[in-house]
Amino acid sequence: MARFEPLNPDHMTPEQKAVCDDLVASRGSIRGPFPVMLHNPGLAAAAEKLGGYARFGSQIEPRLLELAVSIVGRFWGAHIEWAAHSRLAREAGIDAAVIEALEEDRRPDFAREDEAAVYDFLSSLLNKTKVDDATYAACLKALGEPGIIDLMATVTHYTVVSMTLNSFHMSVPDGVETPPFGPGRG
Amino acid sequence: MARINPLKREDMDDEQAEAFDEVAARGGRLGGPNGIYIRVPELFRLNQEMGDYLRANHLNPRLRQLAAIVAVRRWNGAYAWGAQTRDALNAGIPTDIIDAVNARETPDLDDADDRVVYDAAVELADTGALSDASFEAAKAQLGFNTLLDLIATVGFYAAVSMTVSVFEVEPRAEFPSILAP
Repeated sequence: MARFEPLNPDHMTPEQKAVCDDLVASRGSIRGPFPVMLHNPGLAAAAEKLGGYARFGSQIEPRLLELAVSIVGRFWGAHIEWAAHSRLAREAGIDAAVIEALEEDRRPDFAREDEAAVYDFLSSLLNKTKVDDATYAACLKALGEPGIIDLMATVTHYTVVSMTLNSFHMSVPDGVETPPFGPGRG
Repeated sequence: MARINPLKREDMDDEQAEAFDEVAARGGRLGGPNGIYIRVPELFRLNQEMGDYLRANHLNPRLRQLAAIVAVRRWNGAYAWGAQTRDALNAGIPTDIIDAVNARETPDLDDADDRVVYDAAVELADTGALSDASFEAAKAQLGFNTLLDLIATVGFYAAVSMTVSVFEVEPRAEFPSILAP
């Protein structure tokens, strides 16, 4: 049971209505963290823009981007984020076995070096709050300098999203299986 | 030595300089992760907009800075610790509270809002979620809209810490506090 009431479109303020229109224009509907974020329309607007960049504007190719979002969502145990982005990762070319290992909180046996580099970088950062020189260098090689900067914007946006989804117990859409972890870590 | 050096104004191309000057003119933030993000001007602007919102919302400055320093302590952002403790002092948080958070000790907080923000921030920064009891306590004490902003604040400053750690952004000499190991 979600811990918030969705807004009634008939009772939105002009600011909420404007952000709503932007979201529908850019993404087709109000999904993910936005039903609750719209309660504070300035937050929804800022997240829509930063998230729009992380998702659609970054230099990272979709396969590595969706892998990164899946890793962040899995770390934080965020249901909607994991369900949506692990599917997008599959569609972008990440192997099913990689997704299965992530879901089970194991290091996947990567066939591709760039995927291993992104995983090792994020895993070290999220679990140890730091990244050693060799791990940083491997990720830089995989993504390039603008790409590794974009990766941190991706981590930023999806960390905010994960904590919001978890805190308000936002559930996966009908017909989507609830992940066997979370919400939250541990 | 940072892994990516903060870009100096004289080394910026036209697009970077335009974004930098615009944000500088309205008193925006240029240090820490922003010195890295300026290399990607569109990202610099959008990250700045999120930061702007998080510095002016339902949380008062004292509660915001308390949440920020808790998130930064958990995520070990050395530059962010210096910058956020400076802002915490300016927002009226006493040095002994800052020192306790730095030492990973529970600070002695008199104010009920402060206590609920501290507890929620510790739980969120570590687990990314709130238990039923924590959620209800925070919502009752702070109100729904303030709680929503608190959650985004903890997430954002956790990630700011990760960003300055990854790029090894050096804290400034003038910062009032140094992150303890």
